[in-house]
Amino acid sequence: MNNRILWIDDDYYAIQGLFRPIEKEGYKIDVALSALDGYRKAQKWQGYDLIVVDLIIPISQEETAPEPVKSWDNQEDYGYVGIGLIKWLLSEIKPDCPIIILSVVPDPITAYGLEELGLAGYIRKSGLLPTNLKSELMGILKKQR
Amino acid sequence: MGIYIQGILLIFASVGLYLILDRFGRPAVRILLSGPLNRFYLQYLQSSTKFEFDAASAADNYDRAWDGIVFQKVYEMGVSGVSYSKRKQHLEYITEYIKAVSKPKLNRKIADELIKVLPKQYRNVDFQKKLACFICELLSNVEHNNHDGKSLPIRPIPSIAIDALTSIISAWIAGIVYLLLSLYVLDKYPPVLAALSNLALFILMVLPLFKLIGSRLAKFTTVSTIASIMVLFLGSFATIAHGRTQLPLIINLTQYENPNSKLLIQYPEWLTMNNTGCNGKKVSIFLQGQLTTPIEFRSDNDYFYFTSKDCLGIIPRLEITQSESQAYEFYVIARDNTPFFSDKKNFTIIPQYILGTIPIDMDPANVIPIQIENWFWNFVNNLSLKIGSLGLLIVLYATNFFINKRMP
Repeated sequence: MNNRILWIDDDYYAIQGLFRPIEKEGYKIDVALSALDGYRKAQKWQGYDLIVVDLIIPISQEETAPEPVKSWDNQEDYGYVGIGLIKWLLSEIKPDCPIIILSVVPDPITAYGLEELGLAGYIRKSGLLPTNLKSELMGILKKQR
Repeated sequence: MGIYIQGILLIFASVGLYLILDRFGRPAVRILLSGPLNRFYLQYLQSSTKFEFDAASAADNYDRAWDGIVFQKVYEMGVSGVSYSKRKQHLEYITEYIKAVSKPKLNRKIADELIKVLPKQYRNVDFQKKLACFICELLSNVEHNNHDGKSLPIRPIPSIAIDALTSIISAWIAGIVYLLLSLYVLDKYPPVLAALSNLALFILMVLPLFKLIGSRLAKFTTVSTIASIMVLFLGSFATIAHGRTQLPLIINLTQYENPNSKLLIQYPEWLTMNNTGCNGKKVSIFLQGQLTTPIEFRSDNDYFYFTSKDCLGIIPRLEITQSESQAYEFYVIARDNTPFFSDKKNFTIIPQYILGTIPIDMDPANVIPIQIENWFWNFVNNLSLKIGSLGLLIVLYATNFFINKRMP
């Protein structure tokens, strides 16, 4: 275990309230504020124990984004940019790395047919407190060990 | 026109100006200020929430800090230009969060904040209805759930602020106009009328401020306003009071080559000219010691003449050449029935040189203006202070909108 988490969410202000309790547990959080940022951080793989992904994230602030990042913006294919990113992470980067969806989107796993991806879980962002989230994530990380 | 009528007309004109501005100025104030007020207010709310969030996080109170995220979303819903999809997401987030944490007090606070920040109407009617129902649900107000959603059950802060600001701006414009106009006539008011007019000014300028009462800062600023207006009130009153007082003034004539000589001067009594006949104000002068050089009194104010007690003829200047102690008196009379101006009472002493063969020395260096040496009232009566006080109060009230988030 490297005690590292990749957290992909554009709302830094909000998520810092969520990841601070986890940092207190000794985890290092790498935050990516766009799909492109997440893409780059995942490519330079730092031995993450867990990836947390929000579904509603922007592609990038930059005008040019490489493939396949551009294709994630195709709503017909993915529904949300985050879904495209998760699929890429699981297929191209680390199929065995646990990924959690943390989003306001209600039940995306069923709604977007993501069951076969074998995600570690879905947590509704609006329906939890930071301490609850910490417990859930700690539970997932324990299972990993 | 009599002074009383002038004063009363001035008061009525100022109140009328206030009513007109208050009635017709509102749309203009709304157009000019609602956007900036709303933006400024929301920015303030967002930054104060962030501050609270950081403080709670720093204290490891993460769950409490997390409440701040909900309020961030509430405030963002009020920002113009935010897309409906984003607003819907936020509304969904808030709804879920309320369900998850289940805190009745939080529900109430969220409803209060929504009421403050949301615009009265959205172009998206469905969303508006949804939001209206949501607010009513939070407030547990079943009756309001029957509304048709044509307008949200809210009165946003900018709307309250605009109403109050319009009244305040109107009142203060009218007040300033009153002050400026009264500069020409205030000092000739009899004290009672001056006091009444100042009281009217006080009511005119302070009453609209009470619309904002409801917070500690609003109360503080209102008290400041009252205090400042009272200073203006006393200042105006004091101007007249000076004229009414027999104020002795001693001038040492040593420096004008009159060793051991002093002049004791009693100012004229204040009273309103009755505009008929010769009704001057007596000035008493008592010379102590001896004069080696004659001195001369003359008025440097065009409104006044000197005259003798019997009022026969005008004396352009009063010369004192006596070499022994003696009391003199002369009268001041206003020209063209102009009422006596208590603040224009500068008389000038011009020392003459020996023998009187040398022309009157008009060198300003040798002119002694006789003024009331009361720095406080001079200061209070200074126009810049009056205008400055008004400006300060306006700034205080503008600040109040943005600093205090617990507006009524």
